Amino acid sequence: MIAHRFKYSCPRSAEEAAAELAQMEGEETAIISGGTWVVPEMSHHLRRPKLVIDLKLAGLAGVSAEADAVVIGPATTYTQLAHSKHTPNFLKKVVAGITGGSQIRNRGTIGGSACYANPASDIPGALVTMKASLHLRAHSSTRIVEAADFFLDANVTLLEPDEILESISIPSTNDENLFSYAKFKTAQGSWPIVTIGCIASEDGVARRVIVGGAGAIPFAVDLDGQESEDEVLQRVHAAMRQPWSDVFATADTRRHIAGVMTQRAVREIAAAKNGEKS
Amino acid sequence: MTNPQQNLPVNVVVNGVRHQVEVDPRLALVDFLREDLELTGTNVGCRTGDCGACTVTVDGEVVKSCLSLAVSADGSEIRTIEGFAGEGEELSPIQSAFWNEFGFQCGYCLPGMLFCTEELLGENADPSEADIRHAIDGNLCRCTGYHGIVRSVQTAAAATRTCNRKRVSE
Repeated sequence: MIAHRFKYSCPRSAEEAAAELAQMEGEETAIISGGTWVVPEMSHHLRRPKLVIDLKLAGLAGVSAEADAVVIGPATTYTQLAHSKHTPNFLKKVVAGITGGSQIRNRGTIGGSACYANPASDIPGALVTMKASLHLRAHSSTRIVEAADFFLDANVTLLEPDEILESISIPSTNDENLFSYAKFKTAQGSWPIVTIGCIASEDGVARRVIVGGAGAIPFAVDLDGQESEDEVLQRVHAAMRQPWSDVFATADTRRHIAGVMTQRAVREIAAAKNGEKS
Repeated sequence: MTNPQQNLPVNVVVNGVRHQVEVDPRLALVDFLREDLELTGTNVGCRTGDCGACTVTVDGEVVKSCLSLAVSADGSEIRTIEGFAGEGEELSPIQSAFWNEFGFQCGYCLPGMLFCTEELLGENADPSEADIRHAIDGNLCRCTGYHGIVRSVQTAAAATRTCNRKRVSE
């Protein structure tokens, strides 16, 4: 049993949820999307919210295709993303490898992972790679922020205490381009140590590689496609400004792995491009 | 304005039996099943979502019941390991395969192993060893080293295929 008491609420929409958050005046709140973080943290007394909002009836799950974007509800589970025909191919590859087994993929959600902003999660880096924008709703206002601006530090995002993530838009412009997604893990069930995502430009060149897990927040490595492999490595190391270190891997280990994996991603895209030509 | 709530109504069907109860919102689903309904086949391991010992299905989806509040399950249909075998079966073909292949020793991980096997075989009648290892990767077993479990799932897959062929030919 969770030790501290809280009010439990199941709002019917993002607006209702935001209205409830607006009344909390700085008190701690928690939002259950899949619950895979919030519930165990409450069980272990690491989090003591006064109000728990459960999104199960808020209608925030689902994937839909609009004219120039795919719109994903924050409460969409990894399994739902894997099965939707609208999910971008890059994201399908990401969600297929989410750690924790099918039990976690059936419950964990893309929005929950984004808002939790765990450095080792796949989703922050994936959203930055896809140039996603996040639609945030407060009681009396909404705003749209780019994924690249959303993540501020480990477990810290731009989301204000009275805001809720209402939807995620992913531009569909580059869905046909070559891509690469890979991660380094120490065991089948472990958190990723480093994730590497790259969606090639229209001419099939890897110009921007997003490194997740190696820093407190995902970071971009910009390339012009002409670099030697040593230069790619230097670019990665220069771009790594907030290195992440934990019991699974030191910052130095992550720096090394990030460099090697970025080289591989660039190589993989180049090989795929040459393969298509021949 | 944020008066903590007392008990909330929860209406669930567990292993085919309807329960209309009131529960404390602080109760995890696993504790509701074990303590209120006395279905202690669902085990508590880590309470962090790592071990899989508390696995059940909620509306047909395999989930870890330490990661849900009981109140969130209101309106759901739940199956625990006690309801794993069909009516009139002592053991299901999957359970028999684990029994015959020594797929468990202490049995603590069985809720996760069995439900994940069932989910896998529902999607893929003839899984490779890699498919099997991927399907059970949300569950920790500290007894078997997983070899017996992989063999059990392979045996269960063969048994299920035979069973399905019989059903088709009948």
